Amino acid sequence: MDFFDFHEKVTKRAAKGDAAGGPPKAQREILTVTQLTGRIEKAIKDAMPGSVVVQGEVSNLKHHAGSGHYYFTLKDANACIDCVMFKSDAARLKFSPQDGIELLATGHVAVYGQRGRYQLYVSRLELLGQGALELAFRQLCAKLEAEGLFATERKKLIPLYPQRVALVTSTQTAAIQDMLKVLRRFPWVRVLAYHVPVQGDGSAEKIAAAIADLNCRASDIGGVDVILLGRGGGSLEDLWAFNEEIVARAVVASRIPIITGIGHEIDVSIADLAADYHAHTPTEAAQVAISQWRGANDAVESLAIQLRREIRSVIQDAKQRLIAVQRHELFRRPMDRINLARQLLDDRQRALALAVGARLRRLQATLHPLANRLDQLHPRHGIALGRERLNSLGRRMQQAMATLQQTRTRQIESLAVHLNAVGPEQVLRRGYSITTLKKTGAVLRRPAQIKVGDRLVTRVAEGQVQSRVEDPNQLGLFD
Amino acid sequence: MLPMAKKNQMPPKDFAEALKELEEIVGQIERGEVGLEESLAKYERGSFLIQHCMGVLNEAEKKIEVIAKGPDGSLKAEPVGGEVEG
Repeated sequence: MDFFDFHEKVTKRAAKGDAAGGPPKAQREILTVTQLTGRIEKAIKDAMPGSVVVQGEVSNLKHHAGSGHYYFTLKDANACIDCVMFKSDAARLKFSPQDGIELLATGHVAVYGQRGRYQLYVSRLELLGQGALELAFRQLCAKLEAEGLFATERKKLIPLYPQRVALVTSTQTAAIQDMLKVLRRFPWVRVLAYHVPVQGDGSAEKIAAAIADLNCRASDIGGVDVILLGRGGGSLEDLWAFNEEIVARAVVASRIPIITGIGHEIDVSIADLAADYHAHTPTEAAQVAISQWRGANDAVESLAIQLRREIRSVIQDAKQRLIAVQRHELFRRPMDRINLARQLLDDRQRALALAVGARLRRLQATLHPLANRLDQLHPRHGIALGRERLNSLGRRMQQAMATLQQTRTRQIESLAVHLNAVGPEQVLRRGYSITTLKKTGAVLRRPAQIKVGDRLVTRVAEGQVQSRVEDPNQLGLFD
Repeated sequence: MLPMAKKNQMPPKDFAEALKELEEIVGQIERGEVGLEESLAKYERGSFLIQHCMGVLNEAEKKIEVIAKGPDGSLKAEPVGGEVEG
């Protein structure tokens, strides 16, 4: 076949195809993009089952902070598909998806028209394989650790002598037998078994519910001192219920202390981390619970011996002291002490009297001069002195008065003599007279004083005479 | 002496409490912290506690019970035989 043959063949085939499959040119249908997209959407919907499960590796993961949706791409070696997981579905996730992890996504495929894309709408994500469980474990572990659920200070004390032990485990497994084997040796410990499934769907919820039940309802069954949460060994998947968040939170919330014994020595579950005591196996958990009871018999017996010994020693001691007291000379010669005391008392009394006397004397010595000084200052001294001065003054005054009187009398007498000498009596005796106007009593000195008819009184040595003026105009006496 | 006797016969809260009280009693008598009369009263109490503890330890019956949940949510403990004992 040469080139032209080949070309012809190809052309023919193309023409045939056109004629058979393509619509006739006249009836050519034109679609809008929306219509096309609608058809694609319908085609996908019709062809695809309602739900698919896809395995692939996560890449380009984005967790939208606002909406809470997850956007990512699921890929394998040859293909990839855009995925979206809405917040409501994402809330049920038991792990945080990360780039690079392999998982199973359940969902449905639909077209997202605005972007011209088809997407897988994921409703559920499951981790795949052992590594995936480990990732979930690590993530939950980190989350609860960050919340402080494993903190040492949250751990409750395991009672030393629990008398009521509750086993939360399956009653159909070897684990419970292991625990009973240990507990059976302590017949006084009451053992209560609370059956729960320890693996499979819903087991975590039932375990958590059992722990909560025991906390709320312990009084119904006479109380619980400690809970043993146990399960025999198994794969990580078998033990998974003990790695569920709900169990961890129930363990932390329990007011009754919890000892876990889950799996084998090497297994550590999240329940173990949250527990108040983490024993490695069911057997060890039971051993931890009753560890103190092992020595209880000895402890009680040793205390009993100690108590008897101590009380004997106390009584012995008391007896010794009693004997010692009895032997004391105080009891043998009781008056000695009293006499001694009496003597001492006498001594003291004497000393006291002496001391008081001396003191009194000292006080008196101080008091005397003061009293004297005070006496001298008494007002009566002043009064006497005053009175004396007063008397003397009185006397002096009387004397002075008497002297004065004599002087005066003498003066008056002398004056009287003088007066007599100059008085009118002497003049009248010498023959003179004094004439006065009867009316006024005025002494007549000038004739002008009188007129005819005036009455005159004239005093003479031996009496007086009255007269009437007849002629006032007389010659002067010496004219 | 009825009140004293009453106090002396009061059972402790639990075994650990009983042991603690016993240790205290022995310690107090040992250190001579209490007088003679009180020592004797404490000895009496100690003897009672020892009897109590011995009584607990000598309880012979093995009690293994299975917890069942009633329809009203209450818990019930029922003794079981061979099924659990295996």
